[in-house]
Amino acid sequence: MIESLLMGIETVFQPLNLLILFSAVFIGFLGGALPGISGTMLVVILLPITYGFDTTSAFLLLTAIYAATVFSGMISAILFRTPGTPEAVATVFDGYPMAKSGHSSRALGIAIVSSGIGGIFGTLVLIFLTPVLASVALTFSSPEFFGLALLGLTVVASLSAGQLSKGIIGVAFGLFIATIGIDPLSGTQRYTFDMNGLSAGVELIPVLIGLFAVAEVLKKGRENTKEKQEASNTKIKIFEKEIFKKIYRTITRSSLMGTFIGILPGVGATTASMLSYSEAVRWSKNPKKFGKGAPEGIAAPESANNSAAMGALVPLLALGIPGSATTAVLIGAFILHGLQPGPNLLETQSNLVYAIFIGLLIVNTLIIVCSKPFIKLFTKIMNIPYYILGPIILMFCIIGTFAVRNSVFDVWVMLIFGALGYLFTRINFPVAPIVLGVVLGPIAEDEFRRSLQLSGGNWFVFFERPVSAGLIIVAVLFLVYPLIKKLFKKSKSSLQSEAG
Amino acid sequence: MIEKYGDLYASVFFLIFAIFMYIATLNFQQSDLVVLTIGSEFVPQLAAGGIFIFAFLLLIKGIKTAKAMNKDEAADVQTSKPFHKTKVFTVGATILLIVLYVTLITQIGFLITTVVYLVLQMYVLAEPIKRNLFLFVSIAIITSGSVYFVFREFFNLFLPSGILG
Repeated sequence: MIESLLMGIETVFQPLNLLILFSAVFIGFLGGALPGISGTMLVVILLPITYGFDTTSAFLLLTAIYAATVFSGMISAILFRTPGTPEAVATVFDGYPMAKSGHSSRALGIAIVSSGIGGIFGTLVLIFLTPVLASVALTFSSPEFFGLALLGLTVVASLSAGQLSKGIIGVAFGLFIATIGIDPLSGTQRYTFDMNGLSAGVELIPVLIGLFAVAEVLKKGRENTKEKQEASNTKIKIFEKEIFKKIYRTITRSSLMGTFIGILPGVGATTASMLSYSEAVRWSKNPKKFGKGAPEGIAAPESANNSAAMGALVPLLALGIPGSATTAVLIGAFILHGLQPGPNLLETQSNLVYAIFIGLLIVNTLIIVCSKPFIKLFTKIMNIPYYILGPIILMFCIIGTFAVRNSVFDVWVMLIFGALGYLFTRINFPVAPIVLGVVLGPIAEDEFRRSLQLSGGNWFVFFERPVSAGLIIVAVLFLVYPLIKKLFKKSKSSLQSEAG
Repeated sequence: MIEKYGDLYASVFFLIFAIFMYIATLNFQQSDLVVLTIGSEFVPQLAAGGIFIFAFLLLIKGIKTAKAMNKDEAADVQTSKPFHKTKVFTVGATILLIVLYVTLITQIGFLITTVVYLVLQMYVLAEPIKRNLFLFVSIAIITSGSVYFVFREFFNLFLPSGILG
């Protein structure tokens, strides 16, 4: 491991890669700070550009952007009461009141230190836990991989925002999209309707860009054109000893909690920040100060969301399971570069994986070091209206999609999914499960059919092996849990009303 | 309106879609060269079945929601109508502009088409009092030029080239 880490350091410290990391932090800060551009959207837009990159540089860029956007969502949350990313929602509760009372510099300082520490802690856990988990997973064969893919698909329960039926429809729809083209096991043409463009299947990039980026711009349209207030003269004090003494326990507890929550499939950084905020309130001697600008109320969500974002990379790199929409997109990035994330990745691409680890450590350090000048710049940039940003994003979507295969057909596919994504958001239908189905569906199908093929059609093959049986049971539990919870709540409330 | 009947629209769309999806699997031409325990139609049929069942559940939920919301219809129409018109125009015009942009970009070329598209798109999205043609043209020229240079020189990626490059 030490040798691999040293190799990772050697790779990352090449001037070009350092420049890429620095640029990624800058781009990530910018994207995360601007409301209307989510981390997922930014990674999706930049994905085609990385096609021409060397694999290591491409993943240093994408993972660094992922980390930086989670961090920078707090800037507009604190200064303008508008979270730049969903992960920063809980930061508004105390960040904005503190800024409003004239202590914006202190609020930003607490958020920067907490995010940096949380991110570094999460990365260290990622470095030590990924190889352990991957070595266990190396003994897996088709039934276990089917179990893993199924477990990954149950992330739908959390990605569908309390609408499980819609989530399952979305996953199945994604599965349909993934089956278009020639079936790799039998050579049968599926849903191609004699169209040449569909024979090779629907490319992942146009689907991702359409559903996440184009749909978002269409949705925003004229919604967000109000000028933001000027946050001039924002001076940031990164480290205040007195404040740090107050919040270091909260940071430690929230970083631990965030990392653990991030590792769980489907429970992302947003949930981690909300849960750690409520825990900070519970552990506080003076809970009444929360919501009025309590330093712990900023430290808890910020350390938790950054550590959770790093924790979510553990199942991604070790098992090939995405923990959130952005990590599902990162799986797409691996596929685009001809790699399959999972236990074999660490064996075959250890230099790449360890370079990503070191890159993330550097990014989380850069977050603390660079945030001060960046925030000053971004408070001005954040005033760019959406009617200027939107068309530029759309242009990047179109030329980015075209550039992957020089194909106009892909651009039309992207547009169709953009329009579908827009309609789905209008009718409150979650799009993230569709992506989950597109990314994990083919793995689940291939491993399922391969298992049955190898076992001569024995359907019990999945339950004869303890790990695959365990994974399938956990997957079913993950899926059924929200339904049981709902039923339990209903019966509890009906009992209460009867008693009342 | 569309938000109110959202579950109904989604469920009807997916019910029809699932039926179409299932029927299409019946026409899959299986190869005689490979003998498979599970054919290539199994997973698509499973997905179609799943979509059908859950779309049906959604339909029931949608009917209930629509009935409950009908009671507050008068208030709902009053608040949603003005926003809806502008939104429909903006989205419709944006999609039309994108379709024209994609059609013309391979005929005319990246630079000119992109400048014209960006100006028109900003014009459509901006509120009438905020439309500043000089600003839009300047931003469009600078953005298109820098993207053209960076994509071709740094990323070695192709951009659509037409008769005007």
